[in-house]
Amino acid sequence: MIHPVLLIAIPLFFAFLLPLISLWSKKSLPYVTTAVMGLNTIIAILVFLEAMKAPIFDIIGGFQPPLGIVLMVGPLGGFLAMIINTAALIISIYSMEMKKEPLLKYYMLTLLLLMGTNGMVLTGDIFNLFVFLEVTSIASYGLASYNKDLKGFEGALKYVILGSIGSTFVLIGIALIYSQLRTLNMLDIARRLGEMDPYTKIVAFASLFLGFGVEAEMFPLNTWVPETYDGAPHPVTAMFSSMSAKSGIFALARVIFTIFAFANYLWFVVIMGLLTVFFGEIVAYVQKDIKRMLAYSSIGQMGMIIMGLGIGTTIAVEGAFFQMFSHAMGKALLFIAAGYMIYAAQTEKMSEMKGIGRNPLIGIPLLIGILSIMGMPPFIGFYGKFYILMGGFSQGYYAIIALFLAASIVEIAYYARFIKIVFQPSTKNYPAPRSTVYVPLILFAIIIVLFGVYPQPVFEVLKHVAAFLAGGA
Amino acid sequence: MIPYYYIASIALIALGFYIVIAKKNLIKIIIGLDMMDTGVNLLLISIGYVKGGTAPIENGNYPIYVDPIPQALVLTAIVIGVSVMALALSIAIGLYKNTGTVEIDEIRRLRE
Repeated sequence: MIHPVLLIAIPLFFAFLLPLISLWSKKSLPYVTTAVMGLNTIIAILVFLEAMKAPIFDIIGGFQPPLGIVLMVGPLGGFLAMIINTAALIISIYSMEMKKEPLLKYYMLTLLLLMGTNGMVLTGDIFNLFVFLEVTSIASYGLASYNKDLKGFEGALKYVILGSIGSTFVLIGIALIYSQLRTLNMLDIARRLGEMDPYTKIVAFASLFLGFGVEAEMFPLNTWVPETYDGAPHPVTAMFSSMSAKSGIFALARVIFTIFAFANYLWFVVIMGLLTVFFGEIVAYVQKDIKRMLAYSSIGQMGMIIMGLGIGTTIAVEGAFFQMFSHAMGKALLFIAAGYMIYAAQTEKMSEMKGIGRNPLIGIPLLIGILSIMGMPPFIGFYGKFYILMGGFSQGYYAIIALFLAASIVEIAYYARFIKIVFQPSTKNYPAPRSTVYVPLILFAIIIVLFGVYPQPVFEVLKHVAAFLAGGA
Repeated sequence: MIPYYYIASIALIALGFYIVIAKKNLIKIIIGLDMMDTGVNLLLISIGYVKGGTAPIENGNYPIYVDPIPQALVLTAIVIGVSVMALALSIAIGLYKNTGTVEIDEIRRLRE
């Protein structure tokens, strides 16, 4: 029996061990961080395999639930934890590119970010969810302003303001639930939800939904995304899109399905998702800077996930979870590639990046990533979009499907333009990528192709969505 | 009937929210965020209030005591709020060092 609490404890322990290690050898910091994340990935895989058999309930401090704090890891939580830890591990290889001091703080904050996101995915206690949300947010604020330039501070400031408002709303929601039910355990809340006053219930749901919507990049709370992604260091951008956004969206799914047990169509969530998709994709189309385009595209993808959750049928939610997987892998790949391209072309303007993808070490993973995000069949991005559409189709929401497809066409248009620029012949010479750049790119590309060609293991996990919708872990 | 302390805390939250969305000065915005935090803490602590209750120490002499869990929650929330405020203020200092102003409009103008 392996305790899921290790996924939280190990990064926390090593984050505060790093200052001591840096006294001994400053050069070893990136390797120690990568090793810790590797260890965490192994534990996450073991926890996931265990959770596939039966949901794990890890009781903290010997206090029995509902009074004590409990970690609740179902198959989907384990799946998400595995995705987050794997992405963190691969991105930490790219983090070795970071040269700007203070590196010690950078690595401490990445480990704390990993700890917070893991906690958000694993916890079974709603106040604990708030605490981990704040750990994630505080680490993110620090990382977003790491460059200490105007762009970084501005992005971080927007993030702080919206993030604080979001966490205030989360806390209001928790206070309302506690005022009526006197419990903070998610399953206990779900069981006794009928005792709640219906109006208080709606207000509590709306507060929690809006609060986690900030982290999940939901419209209209996502104005921080482009600035923060633009101003943050490149590896951090990849972490935001593949780690904190994923934990935010999973918290949102927990709120919708586990706590409030809405197991059918939620028009409110679908409309928010649809607005998010449209806002993201259309604004992405007019962007000229590569990182901003990818940031808006990230918003669009998150909107698709929110839509899938809102449609609420088993197939659509399966699609949403598949989309989380594909977005975590694909966007991290694209942000790493974007980091290299900005470094090589020494500008963020896409028009200056002609021919940069003609180096196969960059070009092939980049193409795989873009095609996967677009939703092309042999890659993982296809299944997510396809299942969300199937879910909508089987319920007869044809207007929603039409709008969704229209947004997808916009997405294909701007990615196709990007491909055209990047692969056209050019006489410019770009510096060759170092192994710290192309190794993570190739690793992400392998995952995208492998699970695109052979998605059965993922579908095996997604079979548990039905139990999740029925209010399980 | 809604007790008056709920109204007070909701008013604090609303005031803070108004400051955050209406003011253009960074320091004022951060003060607004802090007010929102305080309002939620007040809401949480008042949820645990029991009329005539004492501190939640059970020794038999005081049969009525307030709910201890909201107090624990508020303690945590205060610590978190303080650290977020410290970080927000340090980001404001960073912006001031980069631009020489704490007015949002000025900062936006300087960026373009």
